[in-house]
Amino acid sequence: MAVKNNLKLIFSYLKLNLKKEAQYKTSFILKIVMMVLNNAFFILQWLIIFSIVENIGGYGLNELLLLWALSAGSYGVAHLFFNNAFSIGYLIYEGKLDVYLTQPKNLLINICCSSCSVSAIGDIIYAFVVLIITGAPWWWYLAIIPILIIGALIYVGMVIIFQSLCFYIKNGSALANMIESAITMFGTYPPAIFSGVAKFLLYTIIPVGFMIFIPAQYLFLGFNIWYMLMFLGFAILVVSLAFVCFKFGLKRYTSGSLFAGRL
Amino acid sequence: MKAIEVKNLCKDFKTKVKYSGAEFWKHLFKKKEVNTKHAVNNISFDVEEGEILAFIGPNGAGKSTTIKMLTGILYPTSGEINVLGFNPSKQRVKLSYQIGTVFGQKEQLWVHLSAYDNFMFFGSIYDIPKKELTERINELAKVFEITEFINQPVKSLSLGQRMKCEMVASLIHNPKMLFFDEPTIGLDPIAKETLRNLIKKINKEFGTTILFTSHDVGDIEELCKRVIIINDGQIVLDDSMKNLKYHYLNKKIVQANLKTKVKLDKKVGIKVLKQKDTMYKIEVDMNITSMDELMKLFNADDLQDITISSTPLEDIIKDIYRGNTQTHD
Repeated sequence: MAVKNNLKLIFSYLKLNLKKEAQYKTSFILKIVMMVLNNAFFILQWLIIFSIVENIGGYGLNELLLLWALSAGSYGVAHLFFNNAFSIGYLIYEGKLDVYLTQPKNLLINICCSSCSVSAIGDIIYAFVVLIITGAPWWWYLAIIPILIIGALIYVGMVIIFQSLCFYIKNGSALANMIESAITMFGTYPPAIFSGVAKFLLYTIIPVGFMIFIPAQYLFLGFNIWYMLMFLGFAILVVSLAFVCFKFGLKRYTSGSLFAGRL
Repeated sequence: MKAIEVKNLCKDFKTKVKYSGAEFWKHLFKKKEVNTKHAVNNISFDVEEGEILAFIGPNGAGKSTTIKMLTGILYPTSGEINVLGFNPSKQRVKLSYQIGTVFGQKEQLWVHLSAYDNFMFFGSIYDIPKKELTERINELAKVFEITEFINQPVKSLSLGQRMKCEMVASLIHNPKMLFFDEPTIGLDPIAKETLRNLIKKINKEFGTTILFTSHDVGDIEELCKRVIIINDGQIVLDDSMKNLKYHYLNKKIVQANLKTKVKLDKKVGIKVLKQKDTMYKIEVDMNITSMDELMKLFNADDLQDITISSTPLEDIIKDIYRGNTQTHD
């Protein structure tokens, strides 16, 4: 019942946000198209690199593009459904959680899904365009959907954990912003080029290892129950931790008296 | 039955000492002293069901902090709160189905969307079935007279129209209790009057208990039978409007235009506030003297014009804020 209720809330917000954005049709379409093009430019970069070298860390152009599909897709799902998670630190610091606190919904879900980024639709479209370009088998189109959703949950969960630091450190979103940038950056490089501390970080606080590398292995090597369990287990762990950190910090919320409006 | 019961409620905010100028750099990496501000300091009060209560005080007195604790936005440092049988900090979700809030300084509507879309969304937040929700919106739209602009984007509405829509949004789930934090802020006198009438109507037609804060004395005078004044986090007055007026409206202002000058200075209880030639503005403390005593000082034939008025409620409240007036038991 609670799951159904929260899913209903997520889709109500999505519907409302898309309606809000669609008030300005040209801008709405442009945002999506520009994001697809923006991501596509990176293909050019890799085309040039792969004209010089045959593979990087065992990854050829097709495999690398698949990393791009997973990275952009997870990013897209996160920003389409849970865009406000990336502003939680700001909302805490400015005392803008009041409206959400007076509504009868799970607070964290209510906050996270109350805004959406239209350009994120471009990221999701891009993920599927890449599958078409690389000639991916049909079942990848289906498998990628839960992978992107779970990947997005890992991404959002980790960001919330660090954004919750704002309950303790005034204007403390800097670390969360850094983690966010690192996730988008490192997820598009072949995993084999990372080792030692870098590899450790990519499987912990910058969780692209779980978000992107492990599902990529799952797609390349076929179904593997251990990969799946690791992927799912890590997502549950991160999301649970996000809820705990946020709930714990909320007791320190001080609200604010600034004039504010919802745009 | 009590809608709100508050016992020994406290809320402290801790802030680090800030330094300015060169001192700032000197103390940048030093451990800073922590100051504790008692925003709400041991207050207790009750609100009866169906009551309209004004919760007033100067800026920074602790009104908004108290409302935020009552609605579950802030956790109290200590004390007990019971709102409609719920503990707001532990049963926030259950309580929020029963209460509505309007913060004059914080909009909850999505300004790019129409008021109608907003209401439909808020209805879904409160899990109201679609048919019931449409009926409720139509009913409220009639009461609040917003039918004309209900389909316009909120951003294109005037402040008064927006506040009406904010109120409708807060009433969509038919709450038993409403919290209004400065709902008339920034409104013109006509819009204020309309909103006041609507608040009265909500109270009368739906039997909703209303607790509101305002800096506008007109709101308080027109709407409530009871007022709580809070200053420096403590309740300095909790009384009915009737008593407030009776006990504190003990000073009369007399404006008299005489033919000749008179000596008034030495009379106890009579204070000349302003004098220009033979025009006098006099304050008479009715607890010390009487109007008769003042009249004895005038020669009846000298009187050209006289007006007697009570001290404006605004001045009384200002005096209570400043601590100039003794609160009565």
